[in-house]
Amino acid sequence: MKFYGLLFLLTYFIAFGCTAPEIDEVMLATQFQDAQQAINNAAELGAEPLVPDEFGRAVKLLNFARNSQENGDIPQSAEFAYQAELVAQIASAKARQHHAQQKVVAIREQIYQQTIKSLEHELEIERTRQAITEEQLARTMRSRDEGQQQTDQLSSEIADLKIKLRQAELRVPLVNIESLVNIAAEIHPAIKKTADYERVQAAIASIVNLIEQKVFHDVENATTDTQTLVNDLYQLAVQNREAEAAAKTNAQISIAKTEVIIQRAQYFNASQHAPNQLQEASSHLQRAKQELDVNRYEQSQQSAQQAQQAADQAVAISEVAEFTERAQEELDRQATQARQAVNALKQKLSAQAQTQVPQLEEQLYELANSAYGTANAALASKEYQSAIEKSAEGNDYLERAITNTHLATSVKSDLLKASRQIPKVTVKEQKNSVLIRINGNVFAYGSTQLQEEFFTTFNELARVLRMAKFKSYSVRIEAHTSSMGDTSVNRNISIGRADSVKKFLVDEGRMDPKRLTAVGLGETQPIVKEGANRAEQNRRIDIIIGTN
Amino acid sequence: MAHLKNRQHKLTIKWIICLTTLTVLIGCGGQLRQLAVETMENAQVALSSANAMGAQETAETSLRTAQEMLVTAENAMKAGDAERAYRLALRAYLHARIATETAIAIREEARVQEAQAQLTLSEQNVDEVFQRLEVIRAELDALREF
Repeated sequence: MKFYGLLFLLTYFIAFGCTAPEIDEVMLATQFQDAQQAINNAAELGAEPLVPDEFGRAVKLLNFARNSQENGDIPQSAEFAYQAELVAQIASAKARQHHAQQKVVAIREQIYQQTIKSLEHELEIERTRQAITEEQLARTMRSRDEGQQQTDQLSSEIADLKIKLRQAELRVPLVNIESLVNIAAEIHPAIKKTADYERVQAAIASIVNLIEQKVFHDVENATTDTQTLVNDLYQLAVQNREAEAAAKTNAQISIAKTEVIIQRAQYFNASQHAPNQLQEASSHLQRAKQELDVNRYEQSQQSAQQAQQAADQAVAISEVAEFTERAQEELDRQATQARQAVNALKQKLSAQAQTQVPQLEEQLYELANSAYGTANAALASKEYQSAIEKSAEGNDYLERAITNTHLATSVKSDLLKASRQIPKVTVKEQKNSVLIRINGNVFAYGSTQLQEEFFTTFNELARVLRMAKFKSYSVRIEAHTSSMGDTSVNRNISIGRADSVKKFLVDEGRMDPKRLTAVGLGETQPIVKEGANRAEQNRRIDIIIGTN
Repeated sequence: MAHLKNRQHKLTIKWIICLTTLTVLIGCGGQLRQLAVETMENAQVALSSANAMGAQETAETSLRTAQEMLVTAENAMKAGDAERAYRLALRAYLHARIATETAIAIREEARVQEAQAQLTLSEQNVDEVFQRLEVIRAELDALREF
């Protein structure tokens, strides 16, 4: 028995080798779930119909696993379940392969369809291109036919144009010939009555006929011959025209000359001094004009010359008589004018004698008087022109004197008026000046310093003297003292005071120093010699404004 | 003698039983070992196929699992555990098959993507050709109307 027991144990150990792995129910259940999940995944991928072997094997393995579990063989059950999961994954992978292959096939089919469609389109494109080409070809053919027709038509037109061009070319010299003939006829109309003119017209008509009939080879020769004829005709017309023009010009010149001479005769009053000669000249002149109008130039010139001779005689007679008459008239006119001028000057001088003119403008007034004397003497000796000129000269002097006097008195009057507005001054009009006197304590005793109370006076004085209308007047400043004290001291003080006034007028009054002259006269020119206030009155500043 | 004979007979029977049992056991054990070896060989072949299909890039996990299991199976075989070696080799084989089939599936799916791209290009080409056709049709119409 020991033997069998040992044998059993040995067999058991050999049969099962090592101990089976420890597998609990939870692990087994998990393995079953994994296997079932793998089978389900395979089923979802359609493995059952696509890969029935693998799918069926997985299912069988899972069944084996369940059987083993039921038999209590847990390890074997787990092993089968694990194998079932792996086989199911193989089935899934194979199912994916099938799906992918089917998709590839389906897509290939679509690609094929697209390729067919593309080819159909390409084919349609080619067909359309062919249609376009055919259409273009048809158009080209039509264009070619039309072009051919146009070419034929143009060829015909060109041929016509060539003929017309040739005709035009041939007409050009003909037009020149016709123009030259017309010019010749214009220059000298009488040429139309000549035989040469008739021949030229016939030749022109013949050439025109030849051109119209397109007989071009004869036209050039005929044109050359006709050109020669026309040139001769033109030369003849020009010569005749020049001769006729010369005769006409001569006649016109003679008539014009005669008209001038007749006018000259009329100027010398020939109707009075030589009426017969003037009448004869007019008659001949009238006849000359009539003959000129009817183109009888030579006869016209002869009549004009006869008229000229008669007019010359009329002029010769009238000129002498008229000069004598007019000279006397001129002399009488001058005598009258001279007398009037001398008398007028005399009256004017007399009128101004009572005014300020002789005093203010003495020199000019004397010159006017002198001129009057000379004019009067010339009138007496019948030197009328000299009398007129001297009277005019005297009148001019007198007018200038009057004007200057008016001007001077007017400005001086303004100066007087303006000066009288200056405070603390006394204004006096003098012959050629205006005196502005300033008395009082202009300076302190023994001082050369201006008292402030007189600043306004001198400022106002400067303002008046700066006026434009008085600017040409010179200003003399005289300082005077009383006789009190030493004479030399008084003189020096007066000089200082005059300079002080000048300085004030320049510095404060903005006057031009060139206009001012300062003089210190001390006690030498008193204005009052007697009386209690004589010292105060003699102590003064005199501003003398020259108005000349 | 008879007793001896009987005893000898019993011994003989015992030896026969032992030999038979050992033979059966050894026989069975030999078959299992052979089965494990063959399964390992199959697993190796399956791994080679998986590698050839590019599974190292597209089914790396399954491939690595198969390789590790095969190594473990070989170790079990070396340790004399043929049954465990067989089971591990069978797992290695199945994982290698999964790697192979997955690699093939991914390759097929990549072909689907390629085909899809080709289809898109074809469709674009069709559109382009159709537009050209429309243009040239318009040209023809214009020419005919002119």
